Amino acid sequence: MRYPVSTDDRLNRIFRDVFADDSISIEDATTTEDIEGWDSLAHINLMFSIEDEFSMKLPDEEFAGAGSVGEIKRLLEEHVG
Amino acid sequence: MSADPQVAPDALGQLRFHHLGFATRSCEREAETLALLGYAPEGEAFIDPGQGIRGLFLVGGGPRIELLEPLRGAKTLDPWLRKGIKIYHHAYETPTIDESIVRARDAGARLVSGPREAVAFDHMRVAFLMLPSMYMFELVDTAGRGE
Repeated sequence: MRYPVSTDDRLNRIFRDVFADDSISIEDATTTEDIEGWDSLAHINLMFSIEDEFSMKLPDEEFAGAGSVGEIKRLLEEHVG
Repeated sequence: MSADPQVAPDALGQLRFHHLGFATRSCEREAETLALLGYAPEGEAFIDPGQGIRGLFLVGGGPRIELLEPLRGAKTLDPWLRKGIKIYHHAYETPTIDESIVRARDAGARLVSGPREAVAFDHMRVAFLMLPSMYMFELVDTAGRGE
């Protein structure tokens, strides 16, 4: 029996892929300061990966200003149809 | 034959290749190294406080190179310098930068910065965009340039 994968699980997998670190475990309070290498380049990589995973588009400016997992999730909720 | 080999029949509006962008910690040290390959400075170094960089163009046997080093305290180049990535963007001239940006975004590219005036190009506007493949390119506005 297959269980639906939660948004948190999908995001966590994206973070592990982007940062090539299987030990990453994100939570809403996780910020750019908490993950080594979460710089502007990685942020764009995250955005492309999230858009691909959730089959949607995020506004450049809003995503650029999202500095935590919680803020990214809020954007997702706003823009996923 | 009249076609200009440097102008590609692209989807963004007749882009003309201009340079490769190199991230470095020292333009002078990098220029010394590239002199081994026949490169030499093209003009004087420039400082662009708005972008947090100091730059120097080189020309030689290959494509034009723009060396860029961070100004003190600037983090603009950190993502590439930390990873040891040297060539981090290609730059193309366009006579219609706003239209090129719209077309690029329609094709899935994301605007990383700009369009804004750049010291390196006599305050013509430039913009940086990233394709989903994580290929970054710069568009340089040539509208109004006397050619």
